[in-house]
Amino acid sequence: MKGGSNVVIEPHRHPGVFIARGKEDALVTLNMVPGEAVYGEKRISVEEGENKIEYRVWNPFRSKLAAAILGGVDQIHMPPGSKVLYLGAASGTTVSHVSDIVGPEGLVYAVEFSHRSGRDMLNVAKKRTNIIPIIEDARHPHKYRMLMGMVDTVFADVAQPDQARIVAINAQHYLKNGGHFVISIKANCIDSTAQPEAVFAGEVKKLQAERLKPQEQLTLEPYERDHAVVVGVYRPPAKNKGE
Amino acid sequence: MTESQQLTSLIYDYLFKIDKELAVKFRKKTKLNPLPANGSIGLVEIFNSYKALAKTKNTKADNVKKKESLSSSSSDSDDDNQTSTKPAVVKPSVQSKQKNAPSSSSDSSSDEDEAAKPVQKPPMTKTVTKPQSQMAKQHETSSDSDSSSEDDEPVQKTNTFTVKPATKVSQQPSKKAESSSDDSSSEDDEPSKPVQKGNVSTVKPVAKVPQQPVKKAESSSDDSSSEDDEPAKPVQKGNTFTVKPATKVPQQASKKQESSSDSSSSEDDEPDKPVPKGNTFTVKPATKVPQQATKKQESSSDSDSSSEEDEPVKPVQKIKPPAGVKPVVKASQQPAKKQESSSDSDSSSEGDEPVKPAQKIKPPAVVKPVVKAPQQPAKKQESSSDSDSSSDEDEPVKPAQPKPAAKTVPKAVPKQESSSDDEFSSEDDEPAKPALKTNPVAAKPVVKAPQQPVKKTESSSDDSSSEDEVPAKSVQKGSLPVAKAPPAKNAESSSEDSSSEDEEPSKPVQKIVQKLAAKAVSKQQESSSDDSSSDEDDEPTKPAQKPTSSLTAVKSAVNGVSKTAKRPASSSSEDSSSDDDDEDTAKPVQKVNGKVSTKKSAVKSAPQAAKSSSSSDSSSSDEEAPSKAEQFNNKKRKNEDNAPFVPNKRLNTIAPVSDNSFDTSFDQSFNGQKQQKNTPFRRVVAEKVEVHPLLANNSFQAKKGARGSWGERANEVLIKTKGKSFRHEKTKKKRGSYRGGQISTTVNSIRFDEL
Repeated sequence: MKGGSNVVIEPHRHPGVFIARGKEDALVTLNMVPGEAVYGEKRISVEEGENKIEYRVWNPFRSKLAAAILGGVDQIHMPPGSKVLYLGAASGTTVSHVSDIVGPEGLVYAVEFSHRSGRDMLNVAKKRTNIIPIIEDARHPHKYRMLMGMVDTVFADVAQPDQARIVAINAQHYLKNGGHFVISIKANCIDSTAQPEAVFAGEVKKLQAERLKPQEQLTLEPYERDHAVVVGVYRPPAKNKGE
Repeated sequence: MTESQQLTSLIYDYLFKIDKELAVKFRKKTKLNPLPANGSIGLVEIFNSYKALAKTKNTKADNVKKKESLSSSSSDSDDDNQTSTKPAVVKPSVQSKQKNAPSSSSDSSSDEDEAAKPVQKPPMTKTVTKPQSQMAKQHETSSDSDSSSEDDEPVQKTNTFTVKPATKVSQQPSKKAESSSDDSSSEDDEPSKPVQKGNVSTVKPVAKVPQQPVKKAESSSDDSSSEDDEPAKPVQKGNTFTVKPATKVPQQASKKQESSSDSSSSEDDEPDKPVPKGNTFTVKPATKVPQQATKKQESSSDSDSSSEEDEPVKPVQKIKPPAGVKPVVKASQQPAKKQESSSDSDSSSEGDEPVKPAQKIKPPAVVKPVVKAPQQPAKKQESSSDSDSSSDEDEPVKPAQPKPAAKTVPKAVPKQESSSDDEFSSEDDEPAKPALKTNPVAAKPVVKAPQQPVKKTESSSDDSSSEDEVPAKSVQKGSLPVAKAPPAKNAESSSEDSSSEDEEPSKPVQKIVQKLAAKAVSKQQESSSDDSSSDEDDEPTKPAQKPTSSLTAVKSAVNGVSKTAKRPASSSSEDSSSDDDDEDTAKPVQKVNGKVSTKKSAVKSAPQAAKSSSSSDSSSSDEEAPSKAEQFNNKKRKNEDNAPFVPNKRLNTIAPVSDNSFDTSFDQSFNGQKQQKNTPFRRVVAEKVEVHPLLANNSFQAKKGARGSWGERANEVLIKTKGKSFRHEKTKKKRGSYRGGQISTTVNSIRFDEL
C-alpha cells in the first residue's frame, strides 16, 4: 500500500487513529518515527504540502486493540496526550501503535514480565520516547511504583486467570478516579472448559467487585477466537462528571 | 498357646484385681481356661522381678537392646514410673523374660534385633538409646531397650523436654512414625519433626515387627506418625506428670537431648523403616515361631515390653483410682492426648489390627484380653498416653511385659508378638492386640466384629492408612490446636472430615471401624456414627490407640476408651481428629469427643470399653490383616490411599460387610463428599454464572453490523478452521495479505447500561 494519490487518510472516530481509504481500507496510525517500521508492518506515506507524513498499518490480526477498533468498540479512552498503563506489552507491537496514538504528549507505561519479549519492547522504546518500558510482574505493581505516575487508562492483555485481580490492583495503584480500563479477555486462559460467554460474564462480575465498572463489551471475532474486550470506568465520579 | 493361655490367665488375674467386670468380660472373650490358679505369681510380681533384673542386667548388655527398643523403653519406663504395680511385675518379668521373651518378646525383640537393631541402632538407638540406656538403663532401659528401643528414645527425648510429655511424645512419634510415617514426615516437618523422627525410630521397631512393620509402613505408619506427633506431646506430658517424672526425668533429660537428636535420627530411622519392613516380613514368621525360639531377644523384648507395660500400667493405675472415672480423668487431662493418640492409634491400629486379627486373632486375643482388663481401667489414660506417645511402642512392650510378669511366657509370647508387632508396626500390632483383647472383653460379638473388620481392614486399612496419612499431617498440626481447644464438637469434626478429601478416605475406614464398634458396642452412640463419618480418621487413630492398649493393658484401656468414646463420641472424636487433621479446630473437637468418649467409656467402663475396644480392634484388625496378608497390597493401597476415592471405595465396600446400618449413613456422607471431590476443578462454573442474552453469543455473526464489515471475509475463512489450521489461516492474515474492503466506524459493542 504505497502512498499515492489514490490513498486518502481520514481520521477514525477514535482520536489518533486513522483509516487509509484506498482500493482496500486499512487501519493506520501516525508513525511517530517516520521511516522506520517496528515489526515489519507496511507504511503509507502521504505528502501534505512540504511535509511528508508516514502512517503505519495496524493489523487487527496482530493486535487486539486494533481488532477492537475494527470490531466497533465505542471508546478506547486513549486520546493523544493521555497516559496509558499497558499491561502485557509483549514485544511492543501494539504498544508502538498506542505510542503513535497518544503522541509525544502522552505516555505509555508498558509492563511486560517476560524478558525475552521485553527485550524487543525495550528496542521499541528506544526509538519512542513516550514509552516507558517496565519489565516486571504486573501482579506486583508496587515494584514499579518508582517509574509510574497516575494514568488515565489501563489497557490489559495479560491473559492470566487472575486477570481481573491484576487489573484491579494496578488500577488501585495508578489509575485515576474516573479513569478507564480496556481489558482483553481470553476465555481459554480463565477456564478452557467453560463456555466463553460464561467466562466473560464471570470476569465482568469480578471487575464489578473491584469497583471497575464495565461499560461495554465486544467480541474480537473473527480476529481472535473466544476473545472479548471489556471497556469500563474505574471509580466513576458521581459529582464531577463534567471533567 | 500354653504360654498365651498362661499369660491370659495372668492378665485375667491382674484384671480381676483391678476390675471384676472387666475381668469377667475378658474371661468370656478369651475363653480363659478355668482360671489356672497362677495365684502364686502375679503380673505385679513379674514386673517387680523384671525391674530388678533389668536394673542389674540392663546396664551394658541392655544398652544394645535398649538402643533397639529405645522408644519402647522410654514409653515403658514412663509406665513403670507411673504405675507402681506394673513395675513390680516388671522385675519378675526379667526372670520370666527369657521364657516370655522367646515367645512374645522374641518377636518384637527378634524383629528389633534382626532388623531393627541394625537399622535402628545406627540412627536412633545408638545415639539416643545408648545414652538413655546408660542413664536410665536400669529403670526403663532394661525393659524398654528391647522392644521399644525406639520408643525409649522418643520417650526419653520427649521426657527431656518435659519429662513425661517428652517420653510420651517420643513414643507416640515413634508409633506415629511407624504407622503414619508419611503423615509424620509432612506434619512433623513443621512442628514435630523431632517427634516424627522419634516416631520414625519407633517406626523402625515396628517395621521390625513382622506384621506391624508392613502394615505400619503401609497404612498405619502414615496416620500414626501424623497423629502421634500432635497427640504424642500432650499425651506424654499427661503421662509424665503421673508416673515417670522422677526416674525417667533424669534419663529423659539425657534422652531428650538424645531424642531431639533422635528426631533427626528418626528421619534416618524412617529410611530404615523399609529395612525393618523387610525384616518384618522375615520377622513375622519368626515372630510367631522365633519369638519362642529366641529367648534372649525375648528377654530384651520382654524388658521392653515390661517397660511398655509399665507405662501403660502407670496410666492405668492413675486411671484406676478413678476406676470408671479414670477414663474421665484421663479424658480431661489426656482428652486431647487421647484423641490424638486415638487418632494415631487408629491409624496405626487400622493397619496393625487387621493383620493381627487375621493371623493370630484368637490366641492374641486371649492374651490381650488379660492385658486389656488391667489396661481398661486405665484404658483411657494408658491409651491416651500410650497410644499417643508410645502407643505403638508401648503396646508392644506392654504385651511383652505382661507376659513375663504373668510368667505365662507362652501366652505372653503370642501377645507380645501381636503387641510387639503392633508396637513396631504400631498400627498393625496394636490393632491386632486390641482386637484380641477387645474380643475377649467385648465377648464374642466383639470378636466377630474384629474379624470382619480385619477382612475389611485389609482393603480399608489401606484406605485408613492413606487417610491417616493425609489426616495425620493435618491432624498433627491440628492436633495441637485441638488439644488446646477441647470445645470442638463432633459435628464440626464430622463436617470437617467430610470437607477434607483425605479425611474422607480415612473416614470410610473409620466408619467401618465405627460401624463395627457401633454394632458390637451399641448404636446409641450413633451420634458418634455421624462423627464416624468424620470418625473415619478418628477411627484410624483409635485403632492405633487400641493397638497401643492391646500392646499393653494401657493400650487395651485406651482402645476401650477410644472405642467407647468412638461409639458414642469416639466416632465423633475420631472424626474430629480427622477433622482436626484437616482443620485445627477439628482437633479440639476430637479431643473433646475423645474426652467425652473416654468419660462415657469410663462410666460404662468395661462393657462399653470392651465393645469399643472390640470395635476398635476390628478396625485395627482389619487394617492389620491387610497388612500381614497384603504387605504388598498395603504398598499398593498406600498408593491408592493417596487417591482419596480409592480408599473410600474400599471403605465403602468394607463398611457394608461390617455394618450395614452405619455404612449406609457413612457411605452417603462419604459419597457426597467424594462426588464433590471428584468434580474437576473449574474456575468458572457456567451454571452459576448469569449470562445476559445479549452477551450469550460471542460469535462474529451475532455481532451487530457484522454483515458487510471488514472482518466478514476473515470470518468466513476462520469459522471453518480449528486448532492448527486456525493458526495457519490466521498467520496468513497476519502477514498483511488480507483484504477486507471498507472499514466502518460504527459502534458495534454491547453496552452494559443497556442490559
